[in-house]
Amino acid sequence: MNYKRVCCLWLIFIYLFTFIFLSGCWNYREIEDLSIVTGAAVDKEDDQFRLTVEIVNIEGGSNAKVASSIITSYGATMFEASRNAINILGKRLYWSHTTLIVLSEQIAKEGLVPVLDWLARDPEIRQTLNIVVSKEKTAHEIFHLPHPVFNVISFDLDNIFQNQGSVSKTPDGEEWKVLKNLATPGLDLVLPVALLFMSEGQLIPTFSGTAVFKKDRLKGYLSPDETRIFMFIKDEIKTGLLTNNVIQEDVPVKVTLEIIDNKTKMKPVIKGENIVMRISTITNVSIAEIEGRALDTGEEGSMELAGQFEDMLQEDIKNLVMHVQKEFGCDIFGFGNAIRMEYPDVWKEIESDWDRLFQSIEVVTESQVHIENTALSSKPIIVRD
Amino acid sequence: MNKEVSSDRQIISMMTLYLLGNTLFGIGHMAKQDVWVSVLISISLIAPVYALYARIITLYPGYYLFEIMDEVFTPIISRLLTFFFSFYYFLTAAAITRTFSEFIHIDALPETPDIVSLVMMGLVIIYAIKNGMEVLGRWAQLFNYILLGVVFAVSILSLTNANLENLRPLLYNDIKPVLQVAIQGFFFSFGELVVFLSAVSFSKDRNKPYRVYFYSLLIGGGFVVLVVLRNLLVLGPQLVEQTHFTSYNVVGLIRIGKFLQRIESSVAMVFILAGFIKTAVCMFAALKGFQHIFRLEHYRPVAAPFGLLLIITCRLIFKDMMQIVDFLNYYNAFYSFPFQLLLPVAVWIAAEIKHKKKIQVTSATSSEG
Repeated sequence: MNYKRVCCLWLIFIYLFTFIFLSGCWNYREIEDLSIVTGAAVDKEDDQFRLTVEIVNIEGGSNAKVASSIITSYGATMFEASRNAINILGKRLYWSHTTLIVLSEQIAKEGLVPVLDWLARDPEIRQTLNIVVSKEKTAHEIFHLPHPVFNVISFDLDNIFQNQGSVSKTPDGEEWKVLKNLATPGLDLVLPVALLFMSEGQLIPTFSGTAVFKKDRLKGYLSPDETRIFMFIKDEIKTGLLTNNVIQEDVPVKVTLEIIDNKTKMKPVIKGENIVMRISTITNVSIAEIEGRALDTGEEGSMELAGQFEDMLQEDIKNLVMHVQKEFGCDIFGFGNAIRMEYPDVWKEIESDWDRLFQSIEVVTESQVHIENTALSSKPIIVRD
Repeated sequence: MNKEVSSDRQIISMMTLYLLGNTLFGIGHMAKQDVWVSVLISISLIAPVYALYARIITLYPGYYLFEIMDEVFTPIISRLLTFFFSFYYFLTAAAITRTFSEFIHIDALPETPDIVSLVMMGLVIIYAIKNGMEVLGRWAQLFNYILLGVVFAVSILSLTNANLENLRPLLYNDIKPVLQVAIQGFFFSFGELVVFLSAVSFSKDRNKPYRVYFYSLLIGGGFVVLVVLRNLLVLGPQLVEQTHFTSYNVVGLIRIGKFLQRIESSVAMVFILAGFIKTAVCMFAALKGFQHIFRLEHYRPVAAPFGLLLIITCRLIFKDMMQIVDFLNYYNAFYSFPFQLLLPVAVWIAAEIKHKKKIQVTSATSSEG
């Protein structure tokens, strides 16, 4: 039948067509032909970018092992440096799996934009990678030492970010958030800090603290403890610990609380000519550790305990804000942004003068700490005389 | 002229996908964080226009727009307008194809020559229009569920990155840019549904034009608002401004555990499929017009040549990506105004007058008899 013949011919045609034309990508690449970049460090050496990349070596076979190696290339721009790596590796760098970009202090001081633009523009690069600033002399040091525990340094450093929730001592450095921070009025940028840490006689890379930026230029650093308070103000605390010396009968006793959850509200209040930032925190905690005896953790005792922590938090928040105002003058807390949200009209007037105004802005704090439970122990450890 | 009847549900599916396909582009940056307000305004502005489209069809059930124009205008004017309409549809189809080929070229296959992806798309489109609206309608009905499902799912997953503060402060930059963007949205996206007047024949007993248009507006418009809101909530107005294909960027940020990440290709799929239906509908309407001008028996013989012409035209009409963005932002409203608003209003007025006369004549003859 004619109909059947037409159908047959069509099927043959479609089969041949797909067989010939659609058998794979246009620019088909085997996984062995790619150098998969997991992390990179960017330094500047006499006007040239020095790009140090960590690439994974994939070995096939039954006991496949993932290991990494480090190579360096140079270029006038980021992209050129990346392409120049072909001359060393013979393969093109493949950036889709990059999780970490370490910038040297010098680049951070001179401005991030030359590095960031390519990271934002190139479709191969994922915007979820983390950008950190190296506190060491150079950025590539972070990758250069054999790591005692990990095979691929970047992936495992990325895990530090993923699990930061239970420490809360390093801010978020995801690229898209960095770009968003840069573009938001009344909010200055912070980035995580990477450094080398001595452990078991060997230097290993880690994250610790915060780099503070004005526009896209590095101004200074916050310590890990200050970072935690900073995260309190920004309402980015998920869980974490609070440690304080509680005065018990004139003897200081170290108490650690574990944060269950925290909610911070930042609200600008206009009083006449002045703008006052009201920062109120509500923290639910449980008692995690008491390094002393005879501390009453009953209903009344824990209220008093909570009170001491409240005072400490309020004091810390005030001190940090003052420190940042005096030392850096960068609005990393987003006070300006909060004013823009709450009082758009006021913000329009003060926006041009905000840099100066920020330094004199007053902060009122109000902290509540609720001790929800005392974990498994109902009392501190009892030692009979 | 041969008629192909589609069910209400099929037409609604096509219209919804048509509206969804336009959200690939983030335009309307002038309105910053209030784009979603603009979209709501455009939806309320377009509602009466849809009522007008539906009214035209109700007056002449089972007719394509070109046939209606034959009825209500003189033959020469009608043919001239049909030519203009056809040309408009054809250029719209070319613009859409070009946009999507740029998208593929930039995001997915940077080393594949444009012409390869264009020929692939062109062949599918030729095949689709040769099969007619009915097949396309059935296809749309099936894929409507899948694509809307995907968009909805990725929007929910994006909520982990969302921040309500991105929408504040409301109307910070005055109402003017918001209205401007509302007008833009009116013409680029919602008003383009005029093409269905020429591509689909609404039969008297099987279709309810008002219902079709308003359901499409409800579902399609709802999804446009959803997508715009999602993009704003995640990226914030400042970053939305910095991106070409905002949805693609937003979904690329989803990272839930180690397992659920890198799902932005789902968005690419949605857009390419929605782009396909947009192009196919526009091409179909253009061919119907061509057939009508030259009083051809059938449009099928010219489908393939027109498809090839589409591939060539879409390379010619825009010089580069920046021109497309510029065109959509500044010129599209002026270019679309006559076809989406002016001419349909003229047709409607003429049709109403004709219709009244017809009623008078019939009532007069019946009273005489």
